[in-house]
Amino acid sequence: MKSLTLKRTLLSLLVVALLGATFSTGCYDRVELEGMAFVVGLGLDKGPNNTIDVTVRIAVPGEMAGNNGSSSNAAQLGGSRPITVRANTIAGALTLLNSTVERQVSLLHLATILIGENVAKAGVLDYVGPLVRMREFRRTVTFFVVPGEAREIFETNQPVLEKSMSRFHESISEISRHTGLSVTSKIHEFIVESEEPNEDPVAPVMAVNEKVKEQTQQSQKDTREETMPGQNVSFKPGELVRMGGNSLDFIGTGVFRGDKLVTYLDGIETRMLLMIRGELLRTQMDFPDPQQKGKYEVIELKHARTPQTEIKLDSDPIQIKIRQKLEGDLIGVQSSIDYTEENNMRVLENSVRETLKQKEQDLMEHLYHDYQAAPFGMFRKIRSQFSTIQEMEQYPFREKLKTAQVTVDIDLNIRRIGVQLAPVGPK
Amino acid sequence: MIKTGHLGRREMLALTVVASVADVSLFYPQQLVMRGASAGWMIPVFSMLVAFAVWALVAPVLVREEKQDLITLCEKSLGSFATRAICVVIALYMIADLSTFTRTFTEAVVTTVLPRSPISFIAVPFFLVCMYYAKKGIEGISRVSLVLWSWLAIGMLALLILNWNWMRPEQAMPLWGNGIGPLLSGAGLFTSVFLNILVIALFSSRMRKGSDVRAIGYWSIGIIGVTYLLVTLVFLMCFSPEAAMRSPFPLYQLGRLIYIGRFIQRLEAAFVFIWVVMAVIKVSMAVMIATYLFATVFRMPVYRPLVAAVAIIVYDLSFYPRSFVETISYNNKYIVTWGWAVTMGIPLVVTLAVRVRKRREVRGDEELDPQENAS
Amino acid sequence: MSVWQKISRAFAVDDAILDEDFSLMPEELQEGRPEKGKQKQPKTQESEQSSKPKQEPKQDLKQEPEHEHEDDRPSASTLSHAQPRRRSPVKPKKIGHRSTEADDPSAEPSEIAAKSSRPEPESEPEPKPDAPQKVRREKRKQQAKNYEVDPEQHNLSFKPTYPEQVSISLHENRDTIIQLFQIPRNADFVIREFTVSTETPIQAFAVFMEGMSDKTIINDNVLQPLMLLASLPHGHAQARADLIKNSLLPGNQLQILEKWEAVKNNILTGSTAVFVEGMDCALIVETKGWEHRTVSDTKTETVVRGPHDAFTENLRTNTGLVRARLRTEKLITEITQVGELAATDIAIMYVEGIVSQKLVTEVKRRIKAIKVDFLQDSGTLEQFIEDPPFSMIPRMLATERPDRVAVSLTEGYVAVFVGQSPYVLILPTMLWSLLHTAEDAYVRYPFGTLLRLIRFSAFLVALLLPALYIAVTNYHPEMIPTDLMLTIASSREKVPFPVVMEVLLMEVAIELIREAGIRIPNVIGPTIGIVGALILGQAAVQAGVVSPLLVIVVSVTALAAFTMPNYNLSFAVRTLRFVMILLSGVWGFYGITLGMLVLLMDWATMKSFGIPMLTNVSPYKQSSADVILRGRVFKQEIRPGALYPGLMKRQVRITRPWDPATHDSREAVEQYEQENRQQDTEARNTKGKRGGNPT
Repeated sequence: MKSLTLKRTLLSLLVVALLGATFSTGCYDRVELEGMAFVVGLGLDKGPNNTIDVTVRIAVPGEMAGNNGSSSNAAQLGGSRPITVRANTIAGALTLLNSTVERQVSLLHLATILIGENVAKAGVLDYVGPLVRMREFRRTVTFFVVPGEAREIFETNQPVLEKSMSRFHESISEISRHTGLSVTSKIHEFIVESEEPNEDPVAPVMAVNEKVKEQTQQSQKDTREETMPGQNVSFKPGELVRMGGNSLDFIGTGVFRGDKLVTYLDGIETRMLLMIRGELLRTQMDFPDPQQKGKYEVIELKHARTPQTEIKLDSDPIQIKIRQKLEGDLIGVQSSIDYTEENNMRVLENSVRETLKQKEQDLMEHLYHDYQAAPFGMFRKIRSQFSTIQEMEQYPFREKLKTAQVTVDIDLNIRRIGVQLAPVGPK
Repeated sequence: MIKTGHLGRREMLALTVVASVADVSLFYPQQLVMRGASAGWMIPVFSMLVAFAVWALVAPVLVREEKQDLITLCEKSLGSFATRAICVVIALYMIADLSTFTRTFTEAVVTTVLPRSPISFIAVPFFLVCMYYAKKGIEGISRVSLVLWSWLAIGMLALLILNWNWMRPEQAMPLWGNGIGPLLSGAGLFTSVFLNILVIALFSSRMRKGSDVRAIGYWSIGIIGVTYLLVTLVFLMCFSPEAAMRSPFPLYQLGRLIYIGRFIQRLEAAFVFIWVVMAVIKVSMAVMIATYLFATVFRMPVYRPLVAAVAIIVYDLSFYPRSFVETISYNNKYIVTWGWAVTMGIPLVVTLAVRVRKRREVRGDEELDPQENAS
Repeated sequence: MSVWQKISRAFAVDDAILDEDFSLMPEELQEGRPEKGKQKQPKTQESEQSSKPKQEPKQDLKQEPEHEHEDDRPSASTLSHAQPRRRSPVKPKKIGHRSTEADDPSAEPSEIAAKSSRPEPESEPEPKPDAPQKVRREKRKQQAKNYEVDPEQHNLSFKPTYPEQVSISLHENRDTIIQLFQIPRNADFVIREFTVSTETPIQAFAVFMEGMSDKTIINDNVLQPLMLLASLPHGHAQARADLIKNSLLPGNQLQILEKWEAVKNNILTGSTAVFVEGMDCALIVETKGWEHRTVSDTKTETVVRGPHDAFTENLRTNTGLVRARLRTEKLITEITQVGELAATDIAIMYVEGIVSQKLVTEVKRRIKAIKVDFLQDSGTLEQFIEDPPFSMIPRMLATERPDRVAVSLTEGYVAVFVGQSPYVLILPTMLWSLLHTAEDAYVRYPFGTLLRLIRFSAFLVALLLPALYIAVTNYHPEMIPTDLMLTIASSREKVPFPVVMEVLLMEVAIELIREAGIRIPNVIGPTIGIVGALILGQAAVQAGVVSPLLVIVVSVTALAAFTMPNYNLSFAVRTLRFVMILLSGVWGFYGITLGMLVLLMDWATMKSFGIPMLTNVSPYKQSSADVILRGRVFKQEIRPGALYPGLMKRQVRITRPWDPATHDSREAVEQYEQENRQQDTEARNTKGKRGGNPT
């Protein structure tokens, strides 16, 4: 009887194995990698009649295998040429895409979302909101606001180094964390900040630099004077004065109120914004020399401590006081003055402090008074002053922003001076 | 009494903790935030205190009455009819709780991991595994939970810690959230999560050393409370209260949020392990308890023949609600509203009855003694 | 039993409670609840029943083994029969259970005692040099009794054709020998007739086996003294035998046997039997000396640091190797024989006082129950005595390292040596021990721990990696970094199969290479296998049959499987891997998780000789830091508690008193001593002779 049982067991095992085999060939969720079209970049533009133009770039597996150069213009970035579809919703657009893409379109590997200016101004959440419910979409996607059309970015993007789309965006985020010229923000932060009361999100900007674009389209034989006509240094997105490189500028910040874009900040203002938010990593900045006109000193700045914020809710107008403690390294000295000398250093510190303070106050007042936009994370810090949510929601913070008084108090210490004491100078 | 075998000290602790914590992977944290807003994390603290209080009343009786459990105590103090009624009530509660739990669990698996599969394709293997577990009995379940609970703890902690870059402590402010009223009422209702009191009371006679029960109870209540607290707090700090209210499956959402550089991201699928394990342990334990109680009621010598039947009933019931949303509303309407009465109320009532009886006996003895002396 | 019946079993009564199965736990703890007096172990019985396929066809024998168990059980738990068995009022009936079993306690205590005392002499330790005779005689009586009691059962169908007692007539004896061994036809047996050169010459002859006995011993120690030096008085046969034994045969081991059965067995093992005219007994001189491999290097459990000798195909050499390491009189070797057609020696070795007596009895009981015609190897024995026969992972540890056996014995394990098998079984075992090697203890503890961690992760990798690969690529492509995903996808574009198919193909190929590598009849077999794998991988990739990444996955898996120190375990892992692959092909991670959970439950509820396979972890038992990690040697103060050793303490608390970092202030020492004392008394008081803490 036992041996019979054994046989039966073996038999049933066989049946199970066969069933398993059939299952494994016809399973519901199993999709082979080569059966999917992974969207790596998604661009949103507003179409006519409340429609949306969705531009996608799909990663092409074969392109990764290193055959660069041969198809130089056609498919940069290891992806297909951008495809744009007009639809009512993003999900609808993805379905429609499958009428031209052979494989199942999937957002699982989505690396970035580019939001066109018209979409941003109309309200981002109307478009991105439905995406959040989708399983394939994740909140850790990077996103950029594009002054102009999102599709244009896909067409003109020609990275200097990176070959793959996902790496490209990760590298941009990483590098702007260090330069402070642009914010790094994921869609999760954007959504959370726009949902929170009295907080406004910010977004990094990716802009097409028309001048550089023209250069790449024309022959590269023009002289420097012709192609770089700008008089001054510019930190504005899309207006950087440069030759060669990618035709895109990754600089500046889009400031929102709610989920609607209100204005752009340039690179320097972005640094101020980050400094107020306390998110600035090590960054190098130029400051005019207090003692020699026309000369600049380079200082690397970082937070020595997280900024302290004090807000008096009762006072009218509302008073916002920020105390910052910064730490600096002297990186470059253009003038002939020896800033390693105690007194000179104090002078330099004071001038830098004044400059920063002025710029920060200007920025805050500008945003508060002109737009009532609150991208500085101020309200978050005073949440603890309320005892319940209801109380908090009743407080008319935004109203009070119009007349808010801002004082910034900066404490700067230049601690290190690089590897040289007195500046190198001619005899 | 139906044989279930012995439980070790650590096994019991692991079992009760894992089974009670299982709900954390589903919508409970979201419900907490819903009730308490930014103070949602305080609800588990308050209910933990309530549970401690209840345990402080229940435990001494269990310890004093060596080798007794809820059923035998009940039989002693309230009589056999009440015992049967209580067994049926607990069993029905378990089945009801299970059917919403399994439905939400399978729905969660469908929405998050296997979106194109039909729900029965997910539920059938799940129930098969749970039946196997329930059939192996509480000894086996407790041993597996002892093996796995450190892994669960590591996974859970990893999930919470890897999200540190999103955490903003300010989002757990204002301190009192929706106000103290909702917090307290929520805390009262939320005590139904502390299933461990009931489980320990039911199986206290299976411990080798009866007095271990007390410490196990306190520890498990503490661990469960802290787990809910931590998960809810992290959930609140990563999403704002406003966003947390709107997203079910917090563990899954937290898993999706993990983004630390190029390599450590998009890990949510790996955390499937955690909630499947917890779900299997909770469901199999509850199925086992329900069958065990039914078997007790009908004076069956063994419980195993009922396992399949009860599992199939739970399977059927779990498909009763039309949708995920309806399941949650059923859960809130019935399970959450009345669960505390079963998980806290029954052990409390039974042990109080035991105390009263004991006192009466003592008094009776005292009354008897003088008579004897007199005569 | 049809499939439906099998399914219906799922709805039927199965009242197996782990806690009540056979366990090393002391009875008084196991029977903590008097209302469950059941202490039978249906599982063991079933396995034993199933382990006797040979008996199936014999109708008349069918009932016998059943009886035997009934009789044996009390002897297995001699401690328990003092208290009468209590059982629950309603006895659940097991489907397919014999009704005879229900009334087994009907056996009267006295009867049980009588029966249980009988195997005792057989299990006597090695004969002491001063009184070898007596012991052997006892044994012979024992055998004779068995033979009388139940010839059928004992002998399968090999009925004896020879008389029982050795005859007084030399001629008769000679005929018996000739008939017994069929001498002219059977060329292996030699009869040497000679005359003992006494004043009145006495006829005698010697019988021995060609090839199994040492000729020089026979010449110098048997024939020479008897033929050249003897002077034998007439007298009583026994006196004559004693004289010959005492003064004429200088062989170092000598027995006087009267039963043909025993004489035959001794001749078959290579001894020389001397028959003398007028003696109704045979003199057995130990002249064993067959050719066997000498002790050589380990073949499968190689270490760098540590001894390199391995067991060989000789039982006594093997026991000697262990005994040479563990020189204590407490080390007991019990020898029994299994096999009705041809007996195989089985040595059970344990350290008296440390080992749990319950374990030894159980091992002996299971071995005794084996009734087969021939037992080939320890691998076969393992299958006869393991607990639930339908489980993948091995329930006992086979090793070829004497040092490992020695250290296991000191921890309270039992070692079983089987005949000419170079693999010794250590039992019981836990899942963790299967992943340990001897070297872990020989290197210093950080490295030992590292080795173990590598091996434990290799276990998981070998079990799960291909399944995880399938789950990730087919169900969760988001988990792969985008660039890697694109590489895989582009390499897969030319591959015509789904990933599951691809993985299965490669896995089967690897298994083929592995099997071929073992069968290739020379030393470079494995090398060829690995080269073959590389070539196969390379070619398969170039032909577009598999993707390159998969080759990496499969080869890493194969490497991980090669690190499994236990051969049986690696089989288990390889088989389970295929199950996992199928599960992940159907449900992805969800399937893998469910599969792992089922496996874990299987392991958690499985017992190896009364201890759960996952014990020391779950159920928790006290033990030194030697379960998953390898702790410091000088901190390993106790033996594994799951084995209920006679003495928990293994070394004193302070083993490094000279170390300035040691806490040996007076207070600390006092505390340690108190703890030590407590541990000792605890072990003695609460558990009788056994030790260990209950869960």
